[in-house]
Amino acid sequence: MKRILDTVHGYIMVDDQYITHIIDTTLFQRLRRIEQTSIRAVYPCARHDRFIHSLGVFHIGSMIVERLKNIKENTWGVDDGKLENMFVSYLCACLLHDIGHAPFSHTFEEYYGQKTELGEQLCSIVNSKEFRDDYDCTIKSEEPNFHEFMSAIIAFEKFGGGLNSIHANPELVVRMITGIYYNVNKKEHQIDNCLISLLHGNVIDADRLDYACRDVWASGYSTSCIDLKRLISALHIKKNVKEEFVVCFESNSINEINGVLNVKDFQNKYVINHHSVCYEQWLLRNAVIYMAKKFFNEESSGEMTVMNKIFNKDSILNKTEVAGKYTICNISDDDIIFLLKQCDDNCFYKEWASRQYTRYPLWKSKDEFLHFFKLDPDTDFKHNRFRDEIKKVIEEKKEITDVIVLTAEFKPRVCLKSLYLVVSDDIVRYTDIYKNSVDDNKNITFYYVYVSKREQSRGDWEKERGGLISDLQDVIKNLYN
Amino acid sequence: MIIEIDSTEIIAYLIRKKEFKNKIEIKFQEIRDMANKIEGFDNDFLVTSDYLSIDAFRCAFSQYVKASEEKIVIQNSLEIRKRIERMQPAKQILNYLDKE
Repeated sequence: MKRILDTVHGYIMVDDQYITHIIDTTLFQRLRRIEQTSIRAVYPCARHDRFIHSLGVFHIGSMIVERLKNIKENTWGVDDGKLENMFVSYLCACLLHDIGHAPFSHTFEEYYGQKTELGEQLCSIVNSKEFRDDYDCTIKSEEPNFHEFMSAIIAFEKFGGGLNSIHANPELVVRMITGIYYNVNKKEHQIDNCLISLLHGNVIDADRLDYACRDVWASGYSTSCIDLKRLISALHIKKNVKEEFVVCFESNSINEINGVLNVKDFQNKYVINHHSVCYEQWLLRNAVIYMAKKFFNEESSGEMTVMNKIFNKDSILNKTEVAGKYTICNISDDDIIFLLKQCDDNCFYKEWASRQYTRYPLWKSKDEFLHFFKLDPDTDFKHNRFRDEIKKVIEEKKEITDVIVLTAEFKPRVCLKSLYLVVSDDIVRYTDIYKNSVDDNKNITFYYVYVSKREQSRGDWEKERGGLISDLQDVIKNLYN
Repeated sequence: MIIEIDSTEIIAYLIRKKEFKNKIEIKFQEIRDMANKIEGFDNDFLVTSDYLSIDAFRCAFSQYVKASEEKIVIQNSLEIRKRIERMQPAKQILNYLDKE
């Protein structure tokens, strides 16, 4: 048993089997050099990484397993040996859920490739008809994210032997990482499905609970505080009205559940979609695209073609050669910075590295946007012509050609219908009590417009900003009337 | 340039293709097939097609849309035509789709 001290959870106790087969490996240690979030542009203290997050998820997973062992009911219909194997699989999945994460949080993960290709790869390595059939049913649930596909592929391929040796089920681990539930044979796998939802759920799971606590602690911003012990002590697995086992929480823990939802809401609205965070991510992404096109001598190739040469399974597991002279091994944030430094004429990198931004946002928040254009706050801003129309007006009227329009999208991806409460011994859906929450999964789209500062003082560009906003009044009205 | 879309844009496209009829039924499989088709046009197109993104569309038009296990049903889509038009996929994707 090892004790690992964590500033968020205190001591994390880890059995030797997890240390030997998962934690003390090059692939898991790689996560020390992958940042957890992209928010350091605004919160410089947020230097936490995917390594400590994975351990934190394991810690919360251990608390959940302890709780389930304490409340275990014979009616679950799973024998003790099998249940123990499920718990070991769950804890392994907690550790491995980000093992395939790309550098710089989520900035580059889509360059792993299209989901159809990644799904095909995963199905072929798991090589089970039941798994493939269940994967085909993800249209009825939640499709894995890019890094989840990659994590599952690596967990199965590289950790499969170790998982078998500690009596974990590699296929179940893959399902827990990706959220691919047993669907075809769901009756026989109800408890497996409950455990999948406790790592990859739509509302409360170990992953979400750790980042909700850790991101708040590391960044220092003030939002809801979550009492994990209180929440987990209210956890049950019970039969719902359809006689299916589901994860549920005692209704008196509703305050903690709302706390988790509030943190995610706050992060999406004010942190992840902050104008500086969006701009820095745009800069970093363009810096790497520029560097990759240059080094691979593929100026005219598509973005995916050239970026996938850097962000792929091989660069995580083995080596990737760049420009015939640099070798990347077990790719992490450091490698990307190193490669960027080898390219002298990369203006995106220079701007990102110096933080001497050459553009300013016309509005810094949705509130400013609403105020400037006198729009109804409930307006649906998603508009496929927004970018072109705005650029046209600014370019024509002000002869500013370097206009950047970035989309800030808040996709809640929560399904509160799947959250069950225990109310006076009845198992009821959260949405049966809080009826309006059934519509809480609405995507919210917003746009930032950045224009070049040119050789101006702050006062000058503030004045110019006022002029540009006046020029945009008509076009915004036309777009949203 | 990478373009990411999800089921919300695909549904908006299918409603427009079905000419804003009074009652439009779209099977989830139709959305998945369209997602696969779009990804096949260009590897810079990335599509998410799952229940959560379908549900996001339902939430945006909760008075007009009902979702069941296999399909969504959109009623009186003419009344939401303007918003549906705004939600169409990016023109790079439409160029391919409209050629079909």
